[in-house]
Amino acid sequence: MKRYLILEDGTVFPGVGFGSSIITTGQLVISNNRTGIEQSVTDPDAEGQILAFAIPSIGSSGINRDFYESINSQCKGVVIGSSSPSTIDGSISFGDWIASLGIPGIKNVDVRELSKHIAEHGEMKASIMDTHDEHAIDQIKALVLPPDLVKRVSTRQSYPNPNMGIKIVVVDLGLKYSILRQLSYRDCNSVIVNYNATPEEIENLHPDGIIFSNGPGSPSDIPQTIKTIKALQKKYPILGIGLGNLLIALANDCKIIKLAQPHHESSLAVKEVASGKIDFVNHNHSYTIDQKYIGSSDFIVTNICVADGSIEGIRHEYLPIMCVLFEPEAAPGPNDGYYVFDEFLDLIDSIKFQDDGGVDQW
Amino acid sequence: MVESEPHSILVIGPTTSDKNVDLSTAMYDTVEILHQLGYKTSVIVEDPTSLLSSGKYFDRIVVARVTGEHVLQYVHEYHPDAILPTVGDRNALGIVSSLNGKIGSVKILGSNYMASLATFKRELFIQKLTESQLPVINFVSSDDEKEIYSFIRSIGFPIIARRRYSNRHSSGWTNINNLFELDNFMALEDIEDSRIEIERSIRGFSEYSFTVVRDKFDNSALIGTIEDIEPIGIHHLDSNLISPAISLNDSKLQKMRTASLKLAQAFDIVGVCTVHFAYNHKTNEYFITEFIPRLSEETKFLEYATSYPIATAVVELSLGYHLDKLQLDGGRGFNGASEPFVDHITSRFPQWSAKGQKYLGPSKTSDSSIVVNGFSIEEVFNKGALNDKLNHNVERREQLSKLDDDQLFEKIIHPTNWMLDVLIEALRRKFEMPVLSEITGINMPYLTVLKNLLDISNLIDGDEVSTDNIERLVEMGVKGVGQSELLLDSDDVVTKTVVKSKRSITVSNRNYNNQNFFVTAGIKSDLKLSDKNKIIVRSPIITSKTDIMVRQFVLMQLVQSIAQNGLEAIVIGREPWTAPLSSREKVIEIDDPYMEMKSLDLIPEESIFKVIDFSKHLNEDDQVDNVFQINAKQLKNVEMPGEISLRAMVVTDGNNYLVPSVIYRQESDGHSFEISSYNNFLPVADRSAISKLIEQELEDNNEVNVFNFEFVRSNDHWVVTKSFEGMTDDIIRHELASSVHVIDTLVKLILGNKIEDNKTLEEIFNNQDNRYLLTVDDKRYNLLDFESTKEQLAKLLK
Amino acid sequence: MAKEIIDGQTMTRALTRITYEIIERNKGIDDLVLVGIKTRGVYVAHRIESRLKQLENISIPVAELDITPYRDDVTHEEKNPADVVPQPLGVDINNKHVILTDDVLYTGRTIRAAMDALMTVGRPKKISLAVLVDRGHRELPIRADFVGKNIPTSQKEKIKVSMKEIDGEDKIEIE
Repeated sequence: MKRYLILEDGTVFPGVGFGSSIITTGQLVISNNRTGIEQSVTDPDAEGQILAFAIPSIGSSGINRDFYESINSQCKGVVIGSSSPSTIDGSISFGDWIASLGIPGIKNVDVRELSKHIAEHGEMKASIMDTHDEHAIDQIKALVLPPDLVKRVSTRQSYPNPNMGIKIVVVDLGLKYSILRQLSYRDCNSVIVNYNATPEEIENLHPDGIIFSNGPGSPSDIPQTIKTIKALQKKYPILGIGLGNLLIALANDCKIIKLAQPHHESSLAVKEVASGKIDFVNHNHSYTIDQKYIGSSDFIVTNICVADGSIEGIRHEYLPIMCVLFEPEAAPGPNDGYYVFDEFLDLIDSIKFQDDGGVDQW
Repeated sequence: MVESEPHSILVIGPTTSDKNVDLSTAMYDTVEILHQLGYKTSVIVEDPTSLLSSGKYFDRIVVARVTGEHVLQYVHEYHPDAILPTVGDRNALGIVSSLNGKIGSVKILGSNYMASLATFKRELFIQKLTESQLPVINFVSSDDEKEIYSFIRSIGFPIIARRRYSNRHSSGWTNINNLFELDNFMALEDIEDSRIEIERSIRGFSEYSFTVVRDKFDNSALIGTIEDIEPIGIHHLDSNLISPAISLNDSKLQKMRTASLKLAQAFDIVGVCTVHFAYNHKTNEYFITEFIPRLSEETKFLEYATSYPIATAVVELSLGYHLDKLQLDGGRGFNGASEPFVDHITSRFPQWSAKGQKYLGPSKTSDSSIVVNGFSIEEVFNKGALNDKLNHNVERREQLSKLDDDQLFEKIIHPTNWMLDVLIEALRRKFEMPVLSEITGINMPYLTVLKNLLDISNLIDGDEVSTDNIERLVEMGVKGVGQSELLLDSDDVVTKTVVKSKRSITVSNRNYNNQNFFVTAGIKSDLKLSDKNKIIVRSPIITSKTDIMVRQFVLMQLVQSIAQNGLEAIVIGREPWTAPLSSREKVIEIDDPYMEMKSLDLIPEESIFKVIDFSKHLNEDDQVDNVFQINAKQLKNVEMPGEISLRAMVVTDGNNYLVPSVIYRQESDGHSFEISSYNNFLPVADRSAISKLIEQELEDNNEVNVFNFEFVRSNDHWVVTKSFEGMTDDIIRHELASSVHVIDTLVKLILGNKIEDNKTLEEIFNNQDNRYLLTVDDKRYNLLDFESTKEQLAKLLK
Repeated sequence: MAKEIIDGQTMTRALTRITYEIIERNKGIDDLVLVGIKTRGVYVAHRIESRLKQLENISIPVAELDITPYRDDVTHEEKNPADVVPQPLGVDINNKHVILTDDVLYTGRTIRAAMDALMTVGRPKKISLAVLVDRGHRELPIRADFVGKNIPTSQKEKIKVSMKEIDGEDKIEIE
């Protein structure tokens, strides 16, 4: 059944429909993940997004429910080139899986040309539709993407991820489950709270450390979270991942800018400034922190992207705050980034064991 | 940034063995970058012509058998600072492993003594991997029953076993799946005069190979992954290969990636390392079966597949460069810290020169290979293994259809190189896919691809192609002008034939501008041409090793010359060609297996200056005046044996000619002797006689051309016995010395330059070489200077 | 039988973390001086210095301290502390924040000797201690401000730190 991927600027990419037959609109993101389709489609960052996958013959590696990053998918649509109708382990095929999730898809699209177009003209909205007439294009242009993406994916109720170790409160801005997996592996006793949790609510949980997770959308959509950060950052060790990182930067008078080419790859090199070590980690972000303001801020740059020199990690000079823009929990991607969690726990430990330390150190 | 220690490097070159992989481009890239970075390099090589164009970068070429002994001799005489074994195939690593403790402070680059030894000594390999907690197949070799049974208990079934006799011979491996079979095996013979070897069976496991690079500071990157379609049990290079490994999900990919990096770290390999894995998708067990710490067929394939300059990166890494601070040439930096993302499939299909079926096993039997590109597996199968023009699949289908079910089944159980055709026939007869997958060990996605292709061919046979299923056909890679026309007529064009670049759009892929393209299906072409005039070089599929070397050499020279002379070189081939790194940005290379470029009209006719064609036969519709056929056409062949003969290469612009290179050959005492660049020794009288003969032969030629003549000395005068229009294999020998630039001269003539009138004979035969290649019996070589050559000639003429 | 308990990568990450902590607690690094206790403490100091340089783009002076003359537990002739000639450090430590660095902190006597040495050379504003490993069993009231790893050991065991600069590889072993 012929369908069309229509971009905001009027460009039409023909293809063949699969999955759900509904019409859908979303922010088009080109994903250069080599593996991990389950993770990408169920990543809460995909809320409101139409994901275009550039890997060839997608689906031959099979679908495994254990690799979901949230309970259900929030993805608005998928765009692919070629797919494999059968899998290596006899699991459900990609097409059937997308259909079972109720997501509309379009295949046989020239994803290479699509990537080129987006690289040249920037990320934009797109729709998967059955016709490509003028009317359809006008519809897309007129559509405004909802500004409450975080609200949609953030957990409504607080819930625990109990264990016996260090107490962590995770502020859910659209977190991936693999963050919780990494915390569990380190015996962290975690509680996950809604993005709107007040400083008092968080303090009442007596955390040893607080994590502000990754999430969809723009930091300007959730100003109240910035306020929460400001209130808590002098009292608790904080780790910011992705969107969390951007919020912390904004809370401390830094500015954020759009990347020249967005980072949506499961394996992109990041250099640790202090030691020169190069790690390959998963990236899923279109923004970074503006280098111009770092010098005058209280942050030092701890990680940079080797390919384009953009900031990938910062740390506060005297408050126990550390942030990364990449996804240290991988899922998918190399596990070179896991050390960020160890570093955060070490940071918490070093604060705890300060006998004559404590608050007045800072 | 770089350890400034080594200044002089000895490169261990290839032997003349037929089993060698052709690493000539890698050698060229390696030596060129060393030269540009200011290192002095020398090479020890058996056949100097195998160096092709990289000869000009060496300060010293030592022609000798590539053995540990000769390397040691060189080290003691010339004291190089370092030895580079990575371009010398297995032999070079063998030499490295024998040099321990004998070379003092001379460094070994790329692979150290321990790593090299471990590629030969199984025990060391197993020990090191076990120490590093990497999964390796343990084995026991013992005549002690207790030890044997204890080992079997520790690893469980299935296992393979064989007997090793005291005379060093061994029986074949037997598969043992349970106690009953074990008892039978043990009962066959008494344990007295033989040892029993047992290891875990990995038969039927899927085979993968991961190639990583690592720098001195422990920064590593995964460059590429390769998946074998055929399982373990069939040699890796006899299998059909796919890159990237699409059947691996994230968890499996990361497991093997981590293991590969750990192995490189454990052996402290600085450079490149390819690790082979056996993976069982049902149980998720996996083992490392082998590792290759040097450049190889895999790195050659991956360099093309991923567009990552592996050869150049490896030598720089081994010299201490940081992974992200490599250099492309003397001046330009390159970020090597990238794990290339490839958005299409590159595939390698092995080729056999003999037409019939061949049984496949753990030893390599194929003679060459063809590489194809596509966006789907169906497309690469169609272009490669099931490409009738290459593999005569229509004929195969006929032959296979005559077999009865049992005979067909036998071909499934005992794999042959016709496996894919056999499976299609089996699917045609409605054999069940899961059963076929189980028996052959070929994973389901590939069987489904074959089924799809079978359905498509049924459609095409039954003439049921219509606008409804045309999209499906194009997606499957079924192309050809017929179907494309139907597409072009359709209003709703889903996909049509286009030319796509091999570069994917990623953040880190913008380092340098690789100009490799391939013809495929899509909506828009990527090809961007400059406004320079173009020379198109067309190249057919070549499978003979000598022809491959000749074409490689000629292409390298041609494209460099074309670019230097101000034109844009476009190489269109039925199979891909990797230009040396220094040309990769200047030369446009298009992989066009179905020769569709002409009908795509992407290159404006007016900008095509000339077409140089390598084929033996041109198409009728080629305008003859615009096409220069470079391949040799034999014009004359007179059987006249003679003790002394000359072979001359002649370049002419239609009026005047040059003889830049003459090879002298003498047969005496049952041996043959050849001396290249004989021009400077050619007696004046002979020169005069030869030139008169040449002028006679050239009388009817009035256009730019290359000729090769053979002259035999008979009764005091010379006779023309063979003449060829075009380039013969001798071109390599003729151009080996750097002073003779036949191909560049040819290009200049094609561009309209003329040879001056009234040149003296001395000028016509001018050759500036000061090193002369002596070839004895067509297989032993020596490079001599002027005096030694004179002596040698004097000896021969006595 | 030496057993590796901390591998190279963990060791270098610990050094990076110590560097971050130094920056955090110091609120800026302008008045810092690193003094490494010979032998391996010097390499620890240099590694911290190079990280500080990469992060803040400031060069911190590094000095080497040989405390054998000051040790009070060595079996050579009794030395009168007053007779010991202060060796020049090569770096001005007056009014600076000195961070003493060593590879292993054990009884604390080495550190006490180091502090003695420092006091004879100048009057630092503050002295802090950074160690790669704290193995417990202090005999003097001395504690580290920055610790790479806390490794509980029995007094019969020995901790062996290997550093690339002098031992060819990075690792920490226990035997």
